[in-house]
Amino acid sequence: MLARLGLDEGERERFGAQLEAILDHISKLQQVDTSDVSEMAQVGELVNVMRDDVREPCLGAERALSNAPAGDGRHFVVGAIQENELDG
Amino acid sequence: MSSTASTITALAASLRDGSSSPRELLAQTLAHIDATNTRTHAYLRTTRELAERQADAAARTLRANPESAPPMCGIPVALKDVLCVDGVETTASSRVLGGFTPPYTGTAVQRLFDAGAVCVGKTNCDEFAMGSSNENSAFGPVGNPWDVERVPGGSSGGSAASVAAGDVPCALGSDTGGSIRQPASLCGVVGFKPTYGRVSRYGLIAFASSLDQIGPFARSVEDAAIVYSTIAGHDPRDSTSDPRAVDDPLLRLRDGVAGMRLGVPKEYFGMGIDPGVREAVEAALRVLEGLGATLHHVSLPSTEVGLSTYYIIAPAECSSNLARYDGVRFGLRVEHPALIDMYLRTRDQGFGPEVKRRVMLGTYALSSGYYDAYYRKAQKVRTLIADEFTRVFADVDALVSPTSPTAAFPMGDRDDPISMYMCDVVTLPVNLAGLPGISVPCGFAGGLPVGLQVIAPRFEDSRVFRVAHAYEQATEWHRARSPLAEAAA
Amino acid sequence: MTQTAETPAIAALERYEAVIGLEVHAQLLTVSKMFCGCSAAYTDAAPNDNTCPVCLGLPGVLPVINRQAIEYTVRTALALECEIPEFTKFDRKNYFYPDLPKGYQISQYDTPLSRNGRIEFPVGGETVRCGITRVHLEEDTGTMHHAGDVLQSATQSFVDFNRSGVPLMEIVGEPDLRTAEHAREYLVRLRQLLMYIGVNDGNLEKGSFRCDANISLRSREAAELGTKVEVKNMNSFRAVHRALESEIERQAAVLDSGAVIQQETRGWVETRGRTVSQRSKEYAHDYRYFPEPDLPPLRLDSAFVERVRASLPELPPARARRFVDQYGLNAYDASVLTSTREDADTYEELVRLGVAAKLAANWLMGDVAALANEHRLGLRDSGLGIAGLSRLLGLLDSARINGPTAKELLTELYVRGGDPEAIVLERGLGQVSDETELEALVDAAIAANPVAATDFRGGKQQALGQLMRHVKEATGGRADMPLVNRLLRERLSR
Repeated sequence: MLARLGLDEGERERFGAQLEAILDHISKLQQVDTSDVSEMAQVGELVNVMRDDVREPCLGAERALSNAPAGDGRHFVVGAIQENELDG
Repeated sequence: MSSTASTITALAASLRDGSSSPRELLAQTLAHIDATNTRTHAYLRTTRELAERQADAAARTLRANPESAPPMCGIPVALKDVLCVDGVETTASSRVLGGFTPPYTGTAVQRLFDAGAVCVGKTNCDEFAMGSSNENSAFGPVGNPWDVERVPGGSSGGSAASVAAGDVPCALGSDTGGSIRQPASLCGVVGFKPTYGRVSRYGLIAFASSLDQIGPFARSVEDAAIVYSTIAGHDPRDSTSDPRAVDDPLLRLRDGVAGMRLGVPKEYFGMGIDPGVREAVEAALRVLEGLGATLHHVSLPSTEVGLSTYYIIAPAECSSNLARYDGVRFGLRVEHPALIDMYLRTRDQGFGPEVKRRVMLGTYALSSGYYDAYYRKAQKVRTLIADEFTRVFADVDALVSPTSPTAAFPMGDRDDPISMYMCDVVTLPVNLAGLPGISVPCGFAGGLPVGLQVIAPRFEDSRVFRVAHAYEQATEWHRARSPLAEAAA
Repeated sequence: MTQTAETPAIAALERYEAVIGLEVHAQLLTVSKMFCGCSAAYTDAAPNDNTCPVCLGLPGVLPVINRQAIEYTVRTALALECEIPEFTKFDRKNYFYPDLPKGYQISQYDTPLSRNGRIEFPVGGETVRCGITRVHLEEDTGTMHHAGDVLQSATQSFVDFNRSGVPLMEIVGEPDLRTAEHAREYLVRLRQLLMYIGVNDGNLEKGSFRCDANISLRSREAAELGTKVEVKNMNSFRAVHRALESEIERQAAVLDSGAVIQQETRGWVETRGRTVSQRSKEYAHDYRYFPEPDLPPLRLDSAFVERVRASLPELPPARARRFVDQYGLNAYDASVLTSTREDADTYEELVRLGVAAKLAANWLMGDVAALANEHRLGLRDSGLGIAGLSRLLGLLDSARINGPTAKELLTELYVRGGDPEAIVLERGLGQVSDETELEALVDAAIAANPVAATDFRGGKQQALGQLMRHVKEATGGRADMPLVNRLLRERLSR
């Protein structure tokens, strides 16, 4: 549900079996001793990469909306949101 | 002179001595693509209008400053369809991005354009760069120019095939776990993955942010170095791009390997390696020895768990990176009055099976209750893998290995995800550690190209080129032309 | 302070203790957005004009941290006496919503920019101390409006990304507050502080300063904590107060009936005067936080932190204490005068220009505040200006004009400006305080009002008023009235 993929019954079964196999394969990882090993979230030693607080030109609504599947010329338009439906 | 038989350096000379012009080169290139693309399907679209504008601008530059014009000026290039170009449809070979036209151009591509390169088209690839055979493209597979019934490798299959088919002298791809090197190997061309942080990722449609890197395909190591030095360098729009100056890979390209210590990781010769591939690579090692390098057996014991590590980290990042394809601002929307159903239908119909598998896998690895066992664990093993490389590089200057355990396999041959994932088993550790790596043609197995992988420490990109160039120049493999290139020439 | 009547919530608090913690989201006053160069002034622009590939979350874009936003957050953290860890990083918070362009919000999860701060403030004579759990930085979302009045019945929603990517600071307070009054005062003080240090404009209506509350009740007899309810949709201090009172009342009624409180999110509905359930626990998010791979971490060394600390202005509580010590003001006046930085600066400038400390305080808090409010124009920017007011009060202090004349001149000159001294000379507004001149006028007044004079002599004190008025009118209001009063009494007691 978290991934929002809208799978049908057949897909769910097929993917379920494949994911099972993949997870089984990657479970090897659990055997590696990682006590006292730090986590590596990214490569490299960069820190404090920042930009100055300077304004740059924007696209403007027309270009921003140029790829919109639905719009009113000013906004992106989407269908109704049902209560709770988008959680998780 | 036709681009089909030529290198960037040779074409650049012909553009300066007046024997060719950017327009002529472009016309030949587009005609060549017309002849090959029905067999390879390497291009999702050509960009004639943009190319003509760029060719004319290049011609003006060449007329005004023939000597100081950059080497890429007037040279046709192809771009993997994960690279954003202002005004040119960019789909990442996914239905979910059908019709998407970026309002901006990515940094690496802009640098090529600024150097006068002529963009002839967007190349086919695995959907969102996820795959090792190019069979995951929503717009159909790519044929390998050496045997169009076989895969070109992936994910940058179209770019590799286009260079191998003689369409263009160079192309850009992206490499997350081997997506440049492996197709280069399978298509018999040079493919280079730079040090992570060397080439800006701004404008590269993200698969796995901490692993992705843009790099070139070319027909010679020198050409790959020319393209690399054109696109490399710090970009303030990519916070992971390194601010250190890029050393010119051409300066010491011809310094050779005499006295160099080359490591041969024993684990990279296991893992289901094809005997023909092993034979070709071992022969290549003897060539390097003959050039004065010394070979040293080294061990990278964590290689075996590299695959598992990669298949947690890459899907985890991709599950987040692909959340933006929701039908709201761009690309496909499958209409439904209720928003939730619009999301579900758009993503169901927009993504192919491999993308869905990885999004599910990554979502799982990050979800509460599994994060520590999967994602956090993988991050720690990633540290171990990177540390192993560091230890080995204390003793050797570079590592040499096969690029792929096998040569090109027939389409449809690997329908099981895990066997497909095994394609990248000796390339993906390089991405996990952020190292530079190259694949250079080193012979044939069963009539199909085999690649030699050269790996160096971070920021030693020039050393990779130097070793690969020495090997290339000592052999004739890079002169071999695919049957398709021969036929179209 | 305004709540004097016994409300049902206050009655409930005799049986239960309320445990309230507030989460404040405050937009930072940067020029550009958090991760791109688009203008952060999103309300000034037409919908979707202030957008670029980065804040629209287009494929291929990457974020770059705005240094000023980091500095503002550290400034806030220091003002709230937080610790600033050396290491901090951004994380992705993953969820789907149409106003969240990337499908994740760049936020901070386990390594916030700061932790463990506090804020103290007075409520009805006692000092309330509230811990600050953390202050972290994230990006704001876009905005949505819906066709039709009610979200649930709308068929379409319209999305604007001008606000997408505006730097947003989250200030999480400890559950140290015990009443709705505490909560309101906490917010008033926090908002005042953020505005004081120049990081936020404090606009609750426009949503640049927003608040959610967590509230539970526990029985006065039992020690264990109650079930927590999150309350949202409170767009004013009054709404926070009313929503929490209503929630205390509701939870007390549920507990009184022997039922249990559901863990849920409830929204305050102003028109109905109560909170309404929005989402229950089963729908709790799994945000799948993980480190943002597109942003290297930050290491804020002590030199940086000390530089930010040095740039902090003297904060309101410290400044108020100093006003008491240095200028001899009472605590209340000192607190009012330091409630904004501009007011406090104005006050100190007036004193520096030679106006007596107490006189300056009275005028600023009284007539000047009223005029500033009436004209929506602070003294600093008014025609009169701080220097003009100091000259005007100088005339008063040296008895060259009297109080009423000073007030008239202030009103007249506040907007259009002018030199008070020149006007006093030109119009002859100078106070009549010459004793000989006034004695003659006093005699004339007694002569003209014999009945009043007799009455006063007979012990009727009020009769003096009529005589004083006579003298005042005779001088066109310029007489030194305390002097007139003395002269009249002397003359009549003979």
